[in-house]
Amino acid sequence: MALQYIYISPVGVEKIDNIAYVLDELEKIFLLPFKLGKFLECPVSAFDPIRNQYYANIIIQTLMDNFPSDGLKLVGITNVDLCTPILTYVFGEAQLDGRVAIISIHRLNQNFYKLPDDKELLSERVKKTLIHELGHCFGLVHCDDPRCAMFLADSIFTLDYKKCSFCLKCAEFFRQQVLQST
Amino acid sequence: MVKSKILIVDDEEIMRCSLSDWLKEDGYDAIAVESGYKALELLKSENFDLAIVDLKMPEIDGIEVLKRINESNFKIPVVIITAYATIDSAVVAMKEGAADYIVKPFNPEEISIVIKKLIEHQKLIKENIRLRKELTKRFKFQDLVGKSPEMLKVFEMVKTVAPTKSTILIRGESGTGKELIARAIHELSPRKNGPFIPVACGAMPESLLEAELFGYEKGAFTGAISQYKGRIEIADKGTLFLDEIGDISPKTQVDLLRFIQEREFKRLGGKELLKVDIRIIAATNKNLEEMVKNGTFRDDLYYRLNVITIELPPLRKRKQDLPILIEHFLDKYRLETGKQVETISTKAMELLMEYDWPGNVRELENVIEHSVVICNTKEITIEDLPASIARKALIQTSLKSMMSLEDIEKEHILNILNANAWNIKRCAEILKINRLTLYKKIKEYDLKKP
Repeated sequence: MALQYIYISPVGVEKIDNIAYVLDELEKIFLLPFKLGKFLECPVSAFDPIRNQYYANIIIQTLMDNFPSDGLKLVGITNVDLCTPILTYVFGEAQLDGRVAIISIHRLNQNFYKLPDDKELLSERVKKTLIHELGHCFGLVHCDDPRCAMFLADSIFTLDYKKCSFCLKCAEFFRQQVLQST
Repeated sequence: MVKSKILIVDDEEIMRCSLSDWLKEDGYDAIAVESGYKALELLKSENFDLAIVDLKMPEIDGIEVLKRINESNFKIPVVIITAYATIDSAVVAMKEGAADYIVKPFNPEEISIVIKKLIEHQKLIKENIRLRKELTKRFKFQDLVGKSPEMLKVFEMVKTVAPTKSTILIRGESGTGKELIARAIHELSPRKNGPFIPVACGAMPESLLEAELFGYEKGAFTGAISQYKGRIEIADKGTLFLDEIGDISPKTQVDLLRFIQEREFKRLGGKELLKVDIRIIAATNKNLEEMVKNGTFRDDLYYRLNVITIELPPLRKRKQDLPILIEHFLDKYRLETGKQVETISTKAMELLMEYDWPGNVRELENVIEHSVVICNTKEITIEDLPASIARKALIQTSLKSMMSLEDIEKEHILNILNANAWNIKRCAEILKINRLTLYKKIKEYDLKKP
């Protein structure tokens, strides 16, 4: 079977800080090959002028349309503010047990909270959000352990409290899921 | 783990999908329908823990759905959601009994707290209902009464095995308190906050027992008009007590064995493989070894169940427990009836001590209840005892009249010794013989401590 990659693609953003480092770190956690994907435009149809936000579910559709032939999963990273029809904002959105997810650095950035830039902290938050959404793509649901990457981050505080790794229970479930899907 | 089930009612497809996807990511089992009618219909056949209902919908609106749910016996909390929030509609929703009123789109923090809180509350309500049912059965851990070495050994065993995960087989005659022991094990185990689900296996025919144990899906058989969760599923995180296990059919033995081995099962007519985390305690008054030999009980199931065995002695073999058991039941029925019955006459006590108690502790409890109800004084006399007991005891006594003097002496000395924990000095005083004579009699009749 040909090697399949987990692609991380910039969506509507030219440059993502520290992305090479983040990919390296993710490879260590997931033990699967990661690759930087091609740049994708953020679909205009995803924009809601009333909410001044972008619908994550519409961007996910665009990612599906651009899914690479040698891809195992595809996660987009954007800098626009994401929302869903039902939630005021999301850090990311994924297809549960699916192939595609999107995360936004908009609310991960300290600037959003009127605080000075912190690139290291931003990389950590990006990593945690990527792990979380990829976890959903592998069928993992929210975890009760507030330190687990699969814990629901409903605010930046809960996100910062999480670790960049799965708890033992989620790690085992993830291992089983990977065995099935690869 | 069995997932909490949430019903979403919203006429907008995008909202249904978005909310149901989010709830699924949060580990819930979410089912979405587009109208109030469909929701009410679904609620008749499926159990939900929570409903999230949109306010503005064609045909019947969210308030009407809320009213009908509250008028029915579904008894689930309803959260009203709307993109068009007004103070008036919020007031109406809360007046009609909505659990909460939330504006769409939701703040992730707010909605996750609301749902978690309601699901936890719903779990507490279910637990409360279960506990109330337990209370009505007058369950008390203290109901385990006994000071005989046999019972003290049983209590020690219960304390030792309760914290473990091991399957337990309780053996004993009918009425010896097997279910009380099982409940005590559950209450002393780390699963005490989970449910204790008893199943009287002998009371049901094969097909009914299978449905009761494993549950069934709607349409699994004629009459299965809605999905039914079996006792195994309900017992998740708790203890399943299989009483009269020796009475189950060969087919149920196979199904039960498979479940015990795999710890997973399917509802009858279902495809989904369900996993539960339960501890099994089985009980029987049958000779399972004999049944295994005869081929009426599977040996593999026998070995799976017989990991730890607790033997409950019959009451006739622990007669020294009779006085404290009688006292315990007197207290219980004195409280229950409000009667001032304080004691039991010596003659009535002698009669009760003579009786063989084939129905064991259960029979004793019934006798004491009967006597307290009948008694019009502060003391229970022979006249207050059920006629059947008085008669049987008298027959037993008259049979004794045909025993030889030697046998009567032997039995009487042994009874006195056992009742006084083999305190030779005290026994000799009661028997009005000297200690050396008593030692001689013990040797002569080859009497042994129990």
